[in-house]
Amino acid sequence: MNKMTNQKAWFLVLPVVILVAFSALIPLMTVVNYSVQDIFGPGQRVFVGMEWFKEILSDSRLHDSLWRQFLFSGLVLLIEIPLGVLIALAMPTRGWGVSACLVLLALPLLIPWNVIGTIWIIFTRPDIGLFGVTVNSLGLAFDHTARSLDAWVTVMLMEVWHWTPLVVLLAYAGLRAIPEAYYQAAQIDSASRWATFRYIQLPKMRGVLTIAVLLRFMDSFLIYAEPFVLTGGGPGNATTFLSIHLVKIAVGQFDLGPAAAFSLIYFLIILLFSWLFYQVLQHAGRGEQS
Amino acid sequence: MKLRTIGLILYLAFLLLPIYWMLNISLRTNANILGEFSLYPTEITLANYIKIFTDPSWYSGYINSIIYVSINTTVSLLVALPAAYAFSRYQFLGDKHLFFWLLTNRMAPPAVFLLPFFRPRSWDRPLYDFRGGLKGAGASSTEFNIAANIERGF
Repeated sequence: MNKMTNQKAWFLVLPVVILVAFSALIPLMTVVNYSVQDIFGPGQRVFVGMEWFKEILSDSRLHDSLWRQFLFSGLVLLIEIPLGVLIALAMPTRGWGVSACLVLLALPLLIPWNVIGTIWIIFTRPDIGLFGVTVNSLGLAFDHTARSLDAWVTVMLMEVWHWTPLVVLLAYAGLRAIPEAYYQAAQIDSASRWATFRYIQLPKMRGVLTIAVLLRFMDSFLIYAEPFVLTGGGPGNATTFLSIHLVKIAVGQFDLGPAAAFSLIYFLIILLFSWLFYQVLQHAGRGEQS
Repeated sequence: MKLRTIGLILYLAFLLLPIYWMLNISLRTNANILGEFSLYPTEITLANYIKIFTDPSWYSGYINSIIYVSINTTVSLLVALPAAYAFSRYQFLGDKHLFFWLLTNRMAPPAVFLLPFFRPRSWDRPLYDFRGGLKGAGASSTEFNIAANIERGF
């Protein structure tokens, strides 16, 4: 679509710019303000320069939660994307089964995030939860409140349960958009099931899968509510991801300076990934049109 | 073909089990839940549901949510629709940068913006007094980005 150049379009954008300036820009500048000061109380503050940034960057707990975050987001992508594609391939293509599957898939996506945490507490508790009791009765000790590996397994299961449907829906939409003629051509060449997937379905799903990977990466990188409700970041710090760590030092300890410095570093990491996200999306869009 | 169907059914069962379990637990009394482990409610009770709809400390949450959602939807649609239209139809100075900036607000961790609103009350004036409205604005920027994404046809 060719766009007209019209500077008056700014007036249409202005309301949202003003609103977002209040909701995002001013708080962000306040955070910048905090990050270079040591604040003792009302009116008592000292400019400390880069001190908090130095302290935060050499903080081993921050390093731990950063690696934990990357491990988590990596595992999320490794499990959810292939699983989502497999499920999308297994879904029926016509008949009542399609709408039944779509409705069931949409269920986890409609549940509020902290309710997801609650559902999984109830589901995995070793005394009353179906999952916890079943695993325990199989002879494996399972308690997500006491053992860090169990907490990780539970958080991963919850995450896979919650978000794989999104990948499925995207992949399914991509699959349905492939014209029937491609499959007929593959049949004439007597292509195997794998060859059809590798050379027709996978390339045609490239666009939607790119979006799925990026969305899942970004959202898992910001994860807060579900593990906060489920494990509270524990046991110990085993499931303390970046957001949980940040809230712990900001609200729990009122360390405004370090928390502000941490916020800014976190924001810059996110900004970098957003930029990559934006670039990739622009290229993916262009690739499909040409 | 058979394997695919079995796999799909197993996956859908995995999707439904936690929800079923929540339903099962919700229909039982506390003593019953802790007393015996059972795959289905043996003594069905609606007491829990009666409680959340009659006890104000429970149902006021729903009312707050409804008010919040109404305000939020109104505000975000009012500001987002013209902007989405502008982004999808016109080219203007700095449009790409502006769009990216709005996108970063969708991506930014809410925890990053939380700090200015969580300081001890006694210290000094909070950043804004209209806290509820501000949260609405924050969420509306999210809404906006979604709307703009749709309009641009990503």
